[in-house]
Amino acid sequence: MRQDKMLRAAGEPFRKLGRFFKTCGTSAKCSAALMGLGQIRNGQVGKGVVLMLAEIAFLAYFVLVGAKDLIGLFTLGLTEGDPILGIAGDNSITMLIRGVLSVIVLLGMAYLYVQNVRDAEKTALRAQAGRPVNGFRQSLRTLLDEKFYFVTLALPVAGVLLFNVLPIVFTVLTAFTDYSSNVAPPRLVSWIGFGNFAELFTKVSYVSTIGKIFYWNVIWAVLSTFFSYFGGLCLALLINKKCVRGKTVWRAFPILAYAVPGFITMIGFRYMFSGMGPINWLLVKLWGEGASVDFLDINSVWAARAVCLLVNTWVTVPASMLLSTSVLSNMNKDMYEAADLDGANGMQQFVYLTLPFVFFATMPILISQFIGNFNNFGISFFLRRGVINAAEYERANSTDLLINWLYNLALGGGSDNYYGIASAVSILIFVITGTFSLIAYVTSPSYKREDTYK
Amino acid sequence: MKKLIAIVLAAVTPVALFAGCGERGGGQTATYEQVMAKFEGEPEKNVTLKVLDNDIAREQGYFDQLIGAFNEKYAKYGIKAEDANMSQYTDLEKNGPLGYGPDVLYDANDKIMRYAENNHVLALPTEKLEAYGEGKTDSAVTEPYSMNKYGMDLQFGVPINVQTPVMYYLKDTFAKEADADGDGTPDVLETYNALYAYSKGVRANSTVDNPVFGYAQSLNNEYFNFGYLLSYGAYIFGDSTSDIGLANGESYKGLRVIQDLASVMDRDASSDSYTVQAYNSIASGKYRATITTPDVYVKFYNALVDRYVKTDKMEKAAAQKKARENLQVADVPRLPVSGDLKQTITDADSQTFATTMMGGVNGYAISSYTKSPKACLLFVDFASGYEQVVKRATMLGIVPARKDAAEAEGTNAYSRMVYNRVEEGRVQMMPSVRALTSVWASVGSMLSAVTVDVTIEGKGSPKVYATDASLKTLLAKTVEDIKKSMQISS
Repeated sequence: MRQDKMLRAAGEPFRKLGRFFKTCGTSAKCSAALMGLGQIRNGQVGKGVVLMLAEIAFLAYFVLVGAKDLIGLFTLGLTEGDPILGIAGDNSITMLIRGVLSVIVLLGMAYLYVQNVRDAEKTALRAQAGRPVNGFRQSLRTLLDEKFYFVTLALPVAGVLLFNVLPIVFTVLTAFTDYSSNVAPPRLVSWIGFGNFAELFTKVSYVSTIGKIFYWNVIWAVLSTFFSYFGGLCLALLINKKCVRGKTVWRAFPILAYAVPGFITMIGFRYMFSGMGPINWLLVKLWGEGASVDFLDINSVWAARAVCLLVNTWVTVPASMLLSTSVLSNMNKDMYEAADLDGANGMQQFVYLTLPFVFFATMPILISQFIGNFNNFGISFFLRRGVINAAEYERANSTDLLINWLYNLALGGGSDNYYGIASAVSILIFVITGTFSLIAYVTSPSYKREDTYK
Repeated sequence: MKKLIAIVLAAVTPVALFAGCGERGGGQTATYEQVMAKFEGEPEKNVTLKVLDNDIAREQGYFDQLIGAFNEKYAKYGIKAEDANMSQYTDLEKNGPLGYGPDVLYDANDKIMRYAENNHVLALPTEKLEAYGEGKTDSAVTEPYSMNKYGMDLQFGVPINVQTPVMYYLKDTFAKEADADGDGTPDVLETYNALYAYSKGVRANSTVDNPVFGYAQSLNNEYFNFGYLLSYGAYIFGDSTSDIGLANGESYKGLRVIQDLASVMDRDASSDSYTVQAYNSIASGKYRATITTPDVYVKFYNALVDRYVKTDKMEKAAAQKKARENLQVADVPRLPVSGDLKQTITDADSQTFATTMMGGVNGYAISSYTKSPKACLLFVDFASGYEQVVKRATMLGIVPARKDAAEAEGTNAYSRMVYNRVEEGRVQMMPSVRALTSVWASVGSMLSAVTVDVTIEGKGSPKVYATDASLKTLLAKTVEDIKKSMQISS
């Protein structure tokens, strides 16, 4: 039953097309047979010739290259290369990219084709109604005047398709192939359907790793955002206090930490918490050899996670403090005076006045901070560089997030790289972060109660 | 929404159905002549070859000397070699097909043969290479570069130097120690039991602020530590990669040895930077002895010269002479039959046995993506020639893979010792198969588990892996981990 409905839904555009051709005029039918023919019939010779040339150019592309590229997208090559024997063979990855490009060109042409038929029909109706039909010059003028947006946006849209959409589609499609450093050109890559996803969710070592990483990833995103956000807010509130003297100096200190590139700070912390670092030296000095803690060792779990949270807080609090300071400077002081008169204490003022206002103003930033932390690659990468095969993990360690795992699978490890599985993980990350961002933003006060502080 | 689902399904279903469609060619067969066709004819003229050598060769000036000599010899043909200026860890598998890789590369046999599996390096016409001449190079060192392809055994690399752990120490540090057999190596370095007892004593007599360690070695390096397991009967792969012999024989005793050694070592031995620290630590006396590969001899030597010049205020020439005399390289100590380093050895012959270590062979290979294969072959032949290999041994301290170069006057005295070990079968060469990467990853985790158990939680004695049974379980689990990892890799 459901399948029938789906088939019906999929066939609807074609039925619509059939109905259109039954009712449309001769010009539209002419343009449907050959692009631009209907326009010529309507007296728009210039426009008709341009459209005809577009169709000829497309057909030439399709016959010479496009069709081969499109077939290549399905086969990913038939002849395996052998550089030892000098056999060039097919390059599956190039074929995949060119195949996607041919689909984009095909879709673009389909859009132009539909517009061409609609235009022929519209112009014919206009002529039938006795209204003047635009000549070529007038059409060009319209393009530069009423439809100027089309001219200005055409190039950026083409750029977006080529440099944004194409790589994204390529990455997504890679998730359905067996592409890895072992199965890469000159070897032929194959389509394996949902094989990578099946492997991710059925192979014991992957399932166990993905479960552990996801568990920590969520805890990390929540805690790191919490410490960073409230750390910055508390610091800003503290420095804003009237009783604090030398505010400029106090504000400058976190800025210093902010000014040092993050990865330099992390390398410093990595040394501090290492076996030979000053923290362990101090522990041993104070309480003897038994007191040393292996903070960032390969199998260290919560000690390493605590260090990661600490370092992330250190790196991100200054930016958060600056943000809170600027938001707090916009607060209406009258509200606090009124609250004072009503007998509200400091905590009540913070909870009922400061927090809602700061939340309202910074919710989109808070969401982006959460997403940023969810995908915070640098902390685990720099603090635990080279630690990628911890016990109970497959190519990961206890502080790795999904994004680090993706990197280890795709590029890290110095051994085999699994691009297909890594792409499947990237789709997973997209689904998680995309869903969260959407829900969090739509339910946030900044979205729901836009007028509150206007 | 339904429309959207229908469109998504319509788009995805063909993708899911594509698997296995089309008749695909591959797995070519060829004759020897066809395989070697790229090397037929006159060498390409007026070409520049990008050569990737290792960092030590570049740092110590050997590489400049090599390309200088080659360029001079082949200037009349317009063939020029130059530094590829890439990281020594550049991956040909990733960069080669894109046209970024070097023309000639120098690497370990396991890596070169990984490239060979997927045709990224060319099979070499050994009959055109002087190093492959009768009796020049032992089959034990050419075998790691051999692979059966197109139905025949082919060579994919030219061996240059043999890699296997050797013991480094300073002569004057052990001047007061006995040498009963008079072989020049102090008795405390003859067996691991003696070394363990010595290290314990040295450490006990040092302070927290200035700790001294009798013995130190990288504890997270699978290559160095695997030898202890091999010595007690383990092997990596049997007849096929599905036969993993990590838990074979009494290999658990090897883990016990690693634990005992870890208990007298510096905690830094588990850090990534250990290998680099070791050069200065041997020179300064913080570490009394260590094991690592012969090709880093020059690093120890430089650190020692540096110490003599900067700390002892010696003239450079005198410092160099003293460093050369003082820096010693010896065979790795013998292991106890019992696997217990705490045992007192009364009869070394019956209670200990010669240690087997992991080994490898570094050599040159030619990228399949080079546009000048014949010129590359000239370079490889030149670099693997007697004169250049002897120079490499003299300048860098490597153990030459060529027999004649290993026996040449002026090369390192320890070259013969290493070669003997190879001939006696006390060096097990790294298998040249891709699946080895899965072994290293899981063995790394296992080593970490046993050493952390001693150095961290146990504070000197193992807690989690205190019994033989627990070590056997860990080995069995590691074998399973390797199998799982290989399943994913396949």
